[in-house]
Amino acid sequence: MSIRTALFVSSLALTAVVAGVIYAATDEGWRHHQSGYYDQALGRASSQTVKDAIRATGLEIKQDRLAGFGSETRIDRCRTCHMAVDDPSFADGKEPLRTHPPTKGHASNEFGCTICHEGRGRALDKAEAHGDDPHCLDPVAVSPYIEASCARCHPEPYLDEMPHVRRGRRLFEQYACVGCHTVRGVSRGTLGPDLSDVGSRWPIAYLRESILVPTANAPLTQMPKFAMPDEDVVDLVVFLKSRRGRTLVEDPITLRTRTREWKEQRPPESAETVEAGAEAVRRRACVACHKLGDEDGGLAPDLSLVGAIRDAAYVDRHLGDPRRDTPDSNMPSFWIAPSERRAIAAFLTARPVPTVPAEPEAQYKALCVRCHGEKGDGEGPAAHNLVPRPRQFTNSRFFDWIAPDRAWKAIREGVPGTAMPAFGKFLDDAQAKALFEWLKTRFHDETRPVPPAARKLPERNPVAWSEARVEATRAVFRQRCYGCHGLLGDGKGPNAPDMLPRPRNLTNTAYFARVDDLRIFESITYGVVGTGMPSWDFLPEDQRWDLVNFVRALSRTGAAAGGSKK
Amino acid sequence: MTVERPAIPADPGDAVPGWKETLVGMPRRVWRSIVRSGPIPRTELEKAQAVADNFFFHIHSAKVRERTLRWKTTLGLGLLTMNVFLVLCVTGVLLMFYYVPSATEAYARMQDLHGAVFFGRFLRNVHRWAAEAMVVLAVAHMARVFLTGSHKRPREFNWVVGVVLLLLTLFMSFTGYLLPWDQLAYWAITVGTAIARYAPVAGDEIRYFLLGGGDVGGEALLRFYVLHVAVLPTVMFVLIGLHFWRVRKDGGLARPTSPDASRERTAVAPDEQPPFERFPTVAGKTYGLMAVVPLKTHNSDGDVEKQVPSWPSALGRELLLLVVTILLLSLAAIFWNAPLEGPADASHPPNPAKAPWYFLGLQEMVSYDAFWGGIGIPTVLVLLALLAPYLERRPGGEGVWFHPKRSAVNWLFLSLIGTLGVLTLIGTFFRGANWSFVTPW
Amino acid sequence: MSRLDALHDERAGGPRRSRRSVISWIAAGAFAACAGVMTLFNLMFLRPRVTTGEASKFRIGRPENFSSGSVVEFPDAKVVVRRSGDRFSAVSLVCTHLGCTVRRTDVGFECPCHGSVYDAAGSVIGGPAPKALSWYRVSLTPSGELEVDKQSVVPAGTHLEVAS
Repeated sequence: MSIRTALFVSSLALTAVVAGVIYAATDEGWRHHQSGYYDQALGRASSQTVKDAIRATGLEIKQDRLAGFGSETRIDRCRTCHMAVDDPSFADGKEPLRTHPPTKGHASNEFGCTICHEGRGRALDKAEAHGDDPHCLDPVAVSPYIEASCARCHPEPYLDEMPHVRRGRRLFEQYACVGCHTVRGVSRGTLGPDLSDVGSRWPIAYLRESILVPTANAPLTQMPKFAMPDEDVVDLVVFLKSRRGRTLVEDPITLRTRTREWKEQRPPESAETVEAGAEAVRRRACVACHKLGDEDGGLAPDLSLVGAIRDAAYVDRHLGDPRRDTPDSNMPSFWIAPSERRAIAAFLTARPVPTVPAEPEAQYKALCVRCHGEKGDGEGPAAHNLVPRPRQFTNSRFFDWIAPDRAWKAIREGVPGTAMPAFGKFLDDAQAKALFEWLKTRFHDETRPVPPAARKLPERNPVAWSEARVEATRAVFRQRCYGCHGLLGDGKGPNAPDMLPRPRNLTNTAYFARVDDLRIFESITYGVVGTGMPSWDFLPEDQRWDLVNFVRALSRTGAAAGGSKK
Repeated sequence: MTVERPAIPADPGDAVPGWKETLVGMPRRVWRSIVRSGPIPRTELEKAQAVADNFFFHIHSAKVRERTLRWKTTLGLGLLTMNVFLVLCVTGVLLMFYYVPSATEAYARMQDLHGAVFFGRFLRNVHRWAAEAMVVLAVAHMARVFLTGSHKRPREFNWVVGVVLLLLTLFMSFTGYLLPWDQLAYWAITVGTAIARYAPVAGDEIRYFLLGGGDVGGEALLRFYVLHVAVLPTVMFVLIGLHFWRVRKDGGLARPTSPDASRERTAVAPDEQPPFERFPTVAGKTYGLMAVVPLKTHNSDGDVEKQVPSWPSALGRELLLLVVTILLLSLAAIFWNAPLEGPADASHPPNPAKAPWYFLGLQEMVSYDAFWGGIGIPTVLVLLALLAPYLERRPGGEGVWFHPKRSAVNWLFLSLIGTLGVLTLIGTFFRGANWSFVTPW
Repeated sequence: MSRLDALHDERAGGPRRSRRSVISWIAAGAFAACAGVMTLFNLMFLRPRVTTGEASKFRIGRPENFSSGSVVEFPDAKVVVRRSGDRFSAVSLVCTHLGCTVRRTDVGFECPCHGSVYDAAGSVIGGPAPKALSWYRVSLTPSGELEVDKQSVVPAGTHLEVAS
């Protein structure tokens, strides 16, 4: 092909492409909508004057420049397609040519569209303007989510026209969200992320998903999966979406003053009576997680038994700092006055102790099921929110290996530092033994004879505790134990998520205070059957003892009790 | 149709033309003062003059070898790169009219280009796809030059200029990547500049200097903008001029050495070559840029019969390439929109955060070893590329694809480029959240 | 390439145009047309369809907000809107001399820069101004609001009559 022919062909091809370019550049969706509007509007026009005005208008981009909402000037071009928003004759029109319902003082040329409806005001392409792509944080909001926009200018007390925000605000307390999350002016929780401006950071779909399946967006979260009807989820999302930091009607200085005052507030005092406690338990929405009487949040232990298994001082302490006795507790530290704590403790401990049946099976149903599960697999409703997780009775190897008196003791006296309470008030020694025997036969799928291990254990810890030796042992710990127990010994090593039972939190003071050196040494030397803890008997014996002392130092128990953390 | 060639008086003398003649002859005089040859040259002489009298002479000699015109010789890659660069300049300047390099305004301006500004989306699309195409074409051009041995003496320095131009192209593309100020841009530049931090000693300082701060922010946007629209294009224009000029001064396209053609030069091995005279004692050649052209010009070497006038043969092909460039870029711009994600938001890092695609090979290497992947190996590769013509000892193989004499270096080159290409592909398509391996299907 | 030379020779020699010559003219024409379209589109690109400054079309509210005989100034838009009876008109406040903003006076307008004086209808009655102040189109939108279009200049004395 000669160059001349090639140029000729290419010139024709270029002409075709340029024709395509012309088409692509001039075929804009809004032109169709506008000409459609003018066609219809002529027929609907109320007077000759209006008809003249319509005839005199050409197709053009309509835009509203909107200043005075926050710091920047907003540009909304929505009316380029939605031509009929302020034309009353299009009340029966179809989108995008439909009259906007009455807005009570929110004139579209003063307020624009996106301040309420969200979306991208500058865009002129439908998909882009409505934010149909996954990158859009605020796609066009539909009812009832659009209510979240009202709160940008109308802070509390919420208007009657904002029922969903209002209800969402109430639900935020009813589901005890306030316990973990801070929302400026609303709550002071610190266990979870601050949600004061969550609405400006995440789209509605994300918020919804995070409530329905907390682990969907944060795999390691401790947030429980609340069982709530869909309307509650919707209203909570509306409320959360309305949290965008500063509202447009608050100036920064007022807000700062108010926030400081709010931060400096002290929790309200309460009468230390049972009645006041009952009222506090109701108001604090304890049953959002716990069970009390017939109300059951299905996430945390049963408070009906507290009177029998805990004393008032414990409840008081636990409310003040849940992680004091149970270092890994998932219970939030509520913003609560000591007097109210005591009132709640008084109320809970004053409740009548339920009678416990004599049959082991019935006992298990009454006392154990909530955590250990109906199948004994440690998967009771509250189990997901307990750290350490409840024991799996189906773990035959562990329960065949464990010394029965240790199990009896655990049932009667509880396991300090964990959620396992003392059931001594319900069960006497014989009952506890019977229950344990029942557990072993009921849930063991297979019984494996444990090879009788000749365990040689010394009488006492031969290595004296000294700060220097402990410090020297840190290297051994990092080399041998770090993978599961973690650098800090808190049981959150990189391998921990894959293990069940979870690696022991070695900083758990309450737990280790009740464990003697010999048992730690035994666990290190021979491992713990039925768990991920392997045997370290190949380490020199004094090194194992050093590790025992190191655990003491981590947990601040034994010889290290009262000493520094290191 | 006959075209009159005005008789240029050999000596105007003192004859003053009358007013009537002056006015009647004015349009032609104006035309002739701009275009120095006739409108359509017909004879060989006119064709030669059409080139030699005009600006084209800076790029072409009056005649080119027939070989030059064959597509197989160059695949037109260098010229395509140049064409794409020209398209980028034109669309870039147009886009500048609406762009504001500010963190609060840039993204809004992008949205405006997508609708409110007539033709804006098309121009942005063309600019975007042309930028991606230029990276690909520049690499392809480099591969062509290497695989045909065209970088060898006396074209070593032009190769070096080419490598520098390739690096500038990458940097140009990289600086332009940030300008939309969307999530894609923000995190690509965050990741891309973070690779610089692995440089020993000055790593953090380089990044701070480049970004005008510790993070990608408004300062970085302004800096990248200035680099993108002022500094880099200027440098590239100068170097492209040098690059083209050197192609011509180095004797046109490299061609196979045959005993009858270019006898005196290649008959001797390089180390036996007589030392060249830096300032040859040729009367009239006094310009100092000779220092940049160490050898004599290799323009005429005897095979005249194999040459054809550059007008219209070469220029026609060049026009064809320009048309094809514009055509393909327009098609791409019609059918695919340039990406624009949400506005840049430092609190929402995507997973995985990826650098621009041409740096994903680097990012992939960084995921194995930060220093070697991000700094060590790239530095070695760039040095290797810069010194390639000086390191290749064995003469011969110029102008021939995959010359058997050069098979070893060709394989080395192909395997390096191939490895980088595969790493880039892996980084682009096979890396998902947490940089774990995923399959794109 | 000798074929090309032959072509040229043929064309130079004979009056007959060959097929090749025709196609090269068509190609040149197509290129020129494409270049023309692209140039035109690039020029249209450079002409903003919407501006970020003051809008040329703006709404001033419902007719009943203006009492009869009122004269309302819109300083940002540099327009004065007048109502007399049911008739509305809008007059520019930009001096036709060199673009300063004129002041309203008892009898009309005067320019503070170079002393041009206009009467109430905007006609020049003194000073260097070359022509009268512009009148803009006032129209009634379907929503029942008045709209002034500064891009649409109408002959002096043009009114919008709104039935009240």
